[in-house]
Amino acid sequence: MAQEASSSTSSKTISLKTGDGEIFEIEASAAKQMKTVQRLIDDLGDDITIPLHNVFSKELPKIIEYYKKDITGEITKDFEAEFVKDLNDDEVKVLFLAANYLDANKLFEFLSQNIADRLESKSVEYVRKYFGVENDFTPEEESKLREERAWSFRGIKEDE
Amino acid sequence: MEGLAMLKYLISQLHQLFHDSSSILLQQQQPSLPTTIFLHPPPPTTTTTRWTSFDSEEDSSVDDCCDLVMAAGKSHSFRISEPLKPPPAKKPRKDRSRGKSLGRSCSSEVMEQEIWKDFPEDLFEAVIARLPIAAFFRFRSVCRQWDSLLASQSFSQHCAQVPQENPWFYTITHENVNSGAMYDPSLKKWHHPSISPLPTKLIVLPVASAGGLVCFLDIGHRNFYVCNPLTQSFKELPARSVKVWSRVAVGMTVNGNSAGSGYKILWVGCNGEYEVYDSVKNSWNRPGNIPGSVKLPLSLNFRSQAVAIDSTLYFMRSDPEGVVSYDVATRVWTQYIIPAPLHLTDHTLAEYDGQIMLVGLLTKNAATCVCIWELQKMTLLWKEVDRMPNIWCLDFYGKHVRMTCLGNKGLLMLSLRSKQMNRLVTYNIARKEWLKVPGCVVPHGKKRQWIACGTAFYPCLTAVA
Repeated sequence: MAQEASSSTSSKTISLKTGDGEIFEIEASAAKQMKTVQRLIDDLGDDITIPLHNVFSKELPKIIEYYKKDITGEITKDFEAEFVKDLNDDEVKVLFLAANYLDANKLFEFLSQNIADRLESKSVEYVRKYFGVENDFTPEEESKLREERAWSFRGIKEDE
Repeated sequence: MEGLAMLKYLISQLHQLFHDSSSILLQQQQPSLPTTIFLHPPPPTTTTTRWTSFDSEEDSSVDDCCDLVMAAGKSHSFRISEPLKPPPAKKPRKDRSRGKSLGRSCSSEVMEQEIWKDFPEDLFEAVIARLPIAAFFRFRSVCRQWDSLLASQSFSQHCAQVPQENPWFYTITHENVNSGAMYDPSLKKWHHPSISPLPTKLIVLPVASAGGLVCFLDIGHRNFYVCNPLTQSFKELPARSVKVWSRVAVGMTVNGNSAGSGYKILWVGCNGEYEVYDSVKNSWNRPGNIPGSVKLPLSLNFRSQAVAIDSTLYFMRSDPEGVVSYDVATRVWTQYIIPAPLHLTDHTLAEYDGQIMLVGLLTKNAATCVCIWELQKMTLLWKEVDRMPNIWCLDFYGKHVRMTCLGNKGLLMLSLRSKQMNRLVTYNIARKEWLKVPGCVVPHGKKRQWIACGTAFYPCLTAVA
């Protein structure tokens, strides 16, 4: 059915359905900021509930919250600090992956920086676990690299 | 329009089918991990560079970097790595999110491992590019792929998007002229890399910097070298066409916004001779003669670093006092006659946000103070805008003080030396903030190093000499 929207795009809301079957509403202008969603809208129309199979009800509301602020131009450093304050490292990671899936650039860049800030003081082993990366160095190679880059380890008390 | 509606329904069903078979739906046991797995070939392995650790026991007893006379250090075996070829450009992120994936059904922990195994590269590159430099070097030990990120084109692009706030300072210490101690003002920390970015037999002084690269000149004023102090990317520039090796002033600019587009280096001598090196052509060029409007001999202030604003380089001169500029784009020399403040010594040019500044010592009646001036463009006069806190200046009362200014843009490091003292201070031009710099002590050492000279550079992991 062709869209003859009687309301203007800016006040139109889009329905998003998460992978675990919950439905959330978002303003069309906010949806525009998430390129994946926008592409789905372009393909499917904006009167259909957009399925987001890889985003879940735990994180989508948080993402919607971010973009709600964004469309009113209210994103400040304070807001961003508050936004991540109570999230642990894993929760931030989930949001980060969701932002990537949704191709939500602004949120993605903000979370990249936040994750970098969190990892700064962590140990090499923590970072491996965080990204699920296997250590493919031999113990000799690894200790040699550490020695070569001893300057970057100096004075660092690596948190677990 | 029934046909259209049916088509749309079909498309949505296809999408559903596609995603159902491709996504992993973890039910809540832990915070869910919604992601598709992306299959892509493992990145090409790159050769690891191998270095012997450098260990110099040079001895020197000089006061000023300009008068350095060094005994040749021990020679060590040294291998320069070939520039690593970047792997083919990675697919952009948005295409990947529609990539194929693997469906599995197994325990959530194993599943987690499986998912993360193929974590899309540019996701963690986006994070790593935002780490502080020292943390980046630590995390290169995470795995081989992370160790070879410096050669990755996509990583370079991520780095280019993250501006560096503060410059670092590459310094030459009295004890060890060949292994640069680097000061990181964000962490207020000195770094002592065990590997020098420079070949060990060279005795060189840093004279200019741009785009994350530092330009060195050997103490005989003969040969130029460019390197990235962080990555050992190093180049000896081709020989110049002069026959007489007199002292020269040097300036460096980047073409465009990053060192990736190349750089230019200008040297100019007191007799008005000059040449410009273009890294893109890898050659020196003499674009003409200094015009008569610039008085010769050109009494250059060699202690002052040149300042670069866009494509123009500014040098301090005396007799007459003022500034001489050269625009590498238009190839035009201009002279500005600017009277120097009274009782001024050890002065040097600096710059912030396009504004030319002057830093120097004012000595009057045994009292010495560090002052900062701004150039008033309309009147071509220096106007004092700041002074070092008086309480610090008192340390130098009655003493003969020499000052070297390291860095010339935004954040300056001042090395103040008298008979028994070497004080290091940073000055942030924008914030008018004076901060003490912790003493430079080599690892396992106790003695504070005296900083002879050096330059600031904006750390750039991907700048190539």
